[in-house]
Amino acid sequence: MDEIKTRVNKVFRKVFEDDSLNIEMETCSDDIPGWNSLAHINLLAMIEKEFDIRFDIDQIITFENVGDICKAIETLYSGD
Amino acid sequence: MDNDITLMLDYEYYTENKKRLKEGLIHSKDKLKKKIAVLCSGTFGETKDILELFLLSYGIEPVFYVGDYNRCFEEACFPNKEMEQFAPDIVIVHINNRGLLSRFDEASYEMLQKEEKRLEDIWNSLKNRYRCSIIQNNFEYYPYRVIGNGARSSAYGNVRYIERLNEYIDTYADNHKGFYVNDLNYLSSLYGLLNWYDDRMWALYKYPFSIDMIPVYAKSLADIIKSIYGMNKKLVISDLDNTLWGGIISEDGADGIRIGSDSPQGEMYEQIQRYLRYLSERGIVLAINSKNDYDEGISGIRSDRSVLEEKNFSKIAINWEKKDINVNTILNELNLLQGGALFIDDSALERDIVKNCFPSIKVFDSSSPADLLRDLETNDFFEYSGLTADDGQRGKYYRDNIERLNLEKEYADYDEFLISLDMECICEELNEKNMDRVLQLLNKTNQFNFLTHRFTEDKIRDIYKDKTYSTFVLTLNDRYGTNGIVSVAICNTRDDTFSIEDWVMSCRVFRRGLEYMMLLIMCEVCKVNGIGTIRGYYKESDRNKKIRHFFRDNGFIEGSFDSEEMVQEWVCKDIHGLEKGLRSLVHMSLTKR
Repeated sequence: MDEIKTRVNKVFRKVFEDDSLNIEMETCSDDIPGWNSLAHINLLAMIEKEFDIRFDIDQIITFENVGDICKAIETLYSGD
Repeated sequence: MDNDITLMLDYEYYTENKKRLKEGLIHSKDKLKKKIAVLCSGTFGETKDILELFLLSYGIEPVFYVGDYNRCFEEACFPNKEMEQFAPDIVIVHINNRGLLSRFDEASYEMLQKEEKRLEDIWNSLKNRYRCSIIQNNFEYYPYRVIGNGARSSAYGNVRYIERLNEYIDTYADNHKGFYVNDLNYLSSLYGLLNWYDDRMWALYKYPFSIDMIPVYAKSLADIIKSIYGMNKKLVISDLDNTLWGGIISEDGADGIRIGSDSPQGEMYEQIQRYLRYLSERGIVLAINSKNDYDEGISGIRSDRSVLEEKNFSKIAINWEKKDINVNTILNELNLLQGGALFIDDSALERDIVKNCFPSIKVFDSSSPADLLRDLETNDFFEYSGLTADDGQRGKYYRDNIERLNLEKEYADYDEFLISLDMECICEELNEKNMDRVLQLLNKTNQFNFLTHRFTEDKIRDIYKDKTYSTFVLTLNDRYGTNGIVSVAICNTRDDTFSIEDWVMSCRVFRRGLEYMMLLIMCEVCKVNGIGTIRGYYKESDRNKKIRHFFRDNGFIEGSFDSEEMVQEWVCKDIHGLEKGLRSLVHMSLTKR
């Protein structure tokens, strides 16, 4: 899970173009300025590219914070 | 302004660099500001951001109005205060396959008629309400054919359905100026329908196509907008050896170089030559820049196997000069700016030299012919939004100019040279016949253009109808033939003042005294109508510095400066004196039509 979180953090930094960004499992869209619907789509698309996975629609509509995203990754990601 | 920014077509690149790119691009000054309204049947946010980056990189600064999701028809066809206030220059109708009335299972004759009617209502209403240019997507094939090949062969299979709808859009475009088709059907084929659609993205976010296709789509829109404002490339400067043919002519001889279907290498170079010839026939100027003995180099072009002929080139520089010196000569003789030029060469060294000397020239590697054509193609330098009859002649105009230049060298005195040209200026008003070319000249001219306003057809038609305007459209002929319509001025008379609101002259006819002829014509109009004051205006841009002092040099006095619009006014109250000064500078006859 730590590895997943680290890599997700890397994607956050890229998408928000902020190298000092640090996320926690509880981090949600209220915590990061600019995490609007557009950024959310980009974020998920970039996470999918990072892990070479595709989220199910069922998963995507339940995402509320970073933890939800990481858990979904864990179910889909089999490692490189 | 640096024209040499190439943005990529990679979605990831934008997601990671959007802010940085925008910050980098927004600072360069002198951008053309344009108001763009978008009516959409799907989400446009991300596309808007990337479109903005492309436009900024082309020197256009957009302001956007984005309509509500899926309310294209309502927003276009009913009074819309917000959009009226916004007053768009361009409206993008962003309806693609996902926004059609008919889903993949609903293609029928009745639906086709309904669809056509809806689209035409949108276009006509936009045109009438906003007098703007319109960009309409045509349609990709549906993601599902259901009945396989039958979708094309049966009368209203959904593949055939899309073909008919697209044909209808093309016909509308043929008959309506200022209406541009964004060819999604081609783009989706180029990248493949399997990559194009993403059902999940549509279901979740109403993205009409895959996120990876957004930059491709945005670039296509930006390219059309760029071409509407005449910001395309105008000149290709090409090397010879291993660029237009395989091999080295001084070693292999005209019979030994690889060109044409008798060798695999030659096959590829033939494609390049065909590509360039096609461009030259459509008004792009070609020039050769090659380090070779002239006779040897030219023998390759004269060879029967060469697709390109000498007449396709407006300037041929085959010599032992350094390439940057030749580039300089070519630009000067053709009166073109480096930002309008492409340079193609197989030598990395030569490319670097040219890159360093001319930062705005687009430089290409020709060592792999197949890649070169792909690069040229994806970059869309030559996007075309309406050709005028004049375009096909352009190469000849430039070639004639080089001959004039040779003649000039024979005369010690420049005036004598001008007299020897037997020039005739034909002056007419704006009319239906010359309108296309006038519009093109107004929009494409950068150097001799006092205000760099850009015009839509509607705007020029308004001027045409408005009796307070006088228009001057000049054609220049001489012993080498005609230069076509090369200068336009739009003037307005109010309260004893004759104002030159716009004035452009093609770089083809610099240093011929035509600008003095134009002023002289204006003086006469003033005298006939008893007008005592002429006002000229100048707004500096990156490219019109050459004429910064034009009015002062001709005896105008500095007037007020509009610091908001950055426009300097110049005033002449001594029309008699102005006229007297001009007489000695004009060496041509005048015919009025």
